[in-house]
Amino acid sequence: MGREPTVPGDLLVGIHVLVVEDNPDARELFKTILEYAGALVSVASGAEQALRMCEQILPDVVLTDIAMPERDGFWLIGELRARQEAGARRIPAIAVTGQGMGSPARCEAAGFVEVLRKPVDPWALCRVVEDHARRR
Amino acid sequence: MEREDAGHALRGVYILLVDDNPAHRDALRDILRYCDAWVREVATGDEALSLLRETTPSALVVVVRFPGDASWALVRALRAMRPEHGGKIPVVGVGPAGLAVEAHAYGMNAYLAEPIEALGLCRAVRELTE
Repeated sequence: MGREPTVPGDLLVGIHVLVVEDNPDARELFKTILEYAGALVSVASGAEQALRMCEQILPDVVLTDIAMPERDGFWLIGELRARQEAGARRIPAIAVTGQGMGSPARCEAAGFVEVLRKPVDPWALCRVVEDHARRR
Repeated sequence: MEREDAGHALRGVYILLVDDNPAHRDALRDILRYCDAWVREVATGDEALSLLRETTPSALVVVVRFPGDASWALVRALRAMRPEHGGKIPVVGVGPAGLAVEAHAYGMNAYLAEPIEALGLCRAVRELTE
């Protein structure tokens, strides 16, 4: 009672986030968190599906797992950057990695604007998404 | 339309969404619903024309796959209707780049080239239904 919410429910209103995650539980969890903060959230279960989605509807921010079967998060950021160099609009991409997966330096060199380590603090995630969406 | 207005930008707007690709249709539906529109989805022009005989939407969002596809025929059939039967309902087309002139010539009121932005779609519908 009387406790101020850590993240206001309208923090991410009007921001479209594409969540790329092969684990259905994690995918649903990230979606729930971002929707709680007011975002419009689309989901993809893999990098290739995410890229196809970006070719039709550009999100404001991409949040992607790094370790995924077949194409991983590095492949996805490489494809997004290639399209950006060819004239497409830049989409800020945030990496979410498990312990021991993809060092922050490698993620940043690949073009990710931020690297979050699992387990992710939900409110830190929302603030990072908001920060990069507004900067765009 | 500001970002902050997105959650209610299309409140009270009834949109008939026509798209034969289920995944893409779901994505467009989610965007329109996020902006608080009431959305009815169909896969084909025939289904759309059938629904138009029952109710009058505020706008149509029609996905174009290639020039001259079934979406063209749908818009042409719609524009051939009398105004009281829906002949003047605004239509927003969504599809490949380079078709805007043709889309307008067929009777679409706005055409968004892919990749679109979510709020750009809501904005286009809102401008035509205000």
